[in-house]
Amino acid sequence: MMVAVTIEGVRRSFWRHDTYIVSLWHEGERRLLDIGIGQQEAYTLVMEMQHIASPRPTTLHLMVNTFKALGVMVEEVRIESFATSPLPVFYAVVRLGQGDMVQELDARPSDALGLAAFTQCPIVVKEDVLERVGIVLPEGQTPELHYAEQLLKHERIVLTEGKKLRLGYSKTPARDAVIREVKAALLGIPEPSGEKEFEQAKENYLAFLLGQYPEKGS
Amino acid sequence: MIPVSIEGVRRNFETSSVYMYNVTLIDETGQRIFNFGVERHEALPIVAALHNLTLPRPQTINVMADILKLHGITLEEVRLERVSHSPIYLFSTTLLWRDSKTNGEVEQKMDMRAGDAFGLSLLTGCPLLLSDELAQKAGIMLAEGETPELYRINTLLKREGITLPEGKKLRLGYSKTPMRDALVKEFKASLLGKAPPFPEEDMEQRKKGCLAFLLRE
Repeated sequence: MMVAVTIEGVRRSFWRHDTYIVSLWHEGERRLLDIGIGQQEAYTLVMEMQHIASPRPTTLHLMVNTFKALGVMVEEVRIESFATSPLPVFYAVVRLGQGDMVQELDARPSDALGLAAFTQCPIVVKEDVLERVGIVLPEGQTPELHYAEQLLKHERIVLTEGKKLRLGYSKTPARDAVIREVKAALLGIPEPSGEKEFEQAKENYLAFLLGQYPEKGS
Repeated sequence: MIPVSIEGVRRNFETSSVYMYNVTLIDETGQRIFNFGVERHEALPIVAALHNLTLPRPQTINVMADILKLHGITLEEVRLERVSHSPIYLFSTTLLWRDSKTNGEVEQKMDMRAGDAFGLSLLTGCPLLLSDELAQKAGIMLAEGETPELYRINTLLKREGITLPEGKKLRLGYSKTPMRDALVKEFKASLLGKAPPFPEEDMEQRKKGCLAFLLRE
């Protein structure tokens, strides 16, 4: 059985420095599936989702433009399976049609989800993948809140009684931070890189969450 | 148009931009080369294809080439017409496609990344052509006996202000292409999960290693 999902957002992983997290979300059943992708792919996805024009076309732009020129349609993207050995990895399948011809091809989830974002095609996840590695969020908890709580847990930070996390006006500060990061990169401000920058970004985010930072523009 | 092939990919020690790798194209005479910077994710599939490395996961350009092959669409030519550096580094390119089902030809003109153009041509095995204008502007004539590897090494030494003492020869190793080999080794390690977390940060270290090898230190 397949479960239809949407891309809820992209956030930076503060667990692994070369990774961004794309969250797939089923609103009705409150099911969340997080998939790690690379920076380049994350940026392309965010640009497309936020309608940010890319001055420099990415490989996905090339692919989508070429498909359009040749009459190839992306019909569906499927998160097909998950393996843990040797490393945790998701496998995706892209279904494409051209006239009567339908073909399926394995792809990295980042490419598959990128294609879905560009073409607005449906994204589905196999039920057993969601059961194994997805989670159901309780009522009132959002993917952003789940992300924040996971990070606090990872950093062994316990909120003092009565203290609440600051999520800012949008309630999605981590998701917004990646959008700002992409916009800055497009303005020629160097893309985040390096261990120092990674630690600094994590510290800033935690400080914001914990209300230790002047709130600005989240 | 000038037919060229991809001679190799090397770390680009001469710049601190995102174009951390240099793809060297060579014309049919073997005497004229063209160097273009590419990003890491563009370099990886090119190096993998050139050196028969199996990618554990297909990169975006591999997926594109595979999808089109599945649909019986072949790329007949990649023509690089012009390169612009400002404001954005892009190639004005024409891709010539043929759909085997209809035998129809589609000419696609677009601005694209150097790495995508090179990667697509390599993965589909189609000719890569440079316009006369581009070849004229970007071409570098090799000196007698100079290889593309030696050209890169000499450029690096000059940039670093290193002059070889009289009688001292560069160490090039068995393959005579240590810089090219170093990148293959780096990417092999990366495919085994030993990718440098921040490749831009190990640039200086790698440059030092490369120079130490060349200068027998």
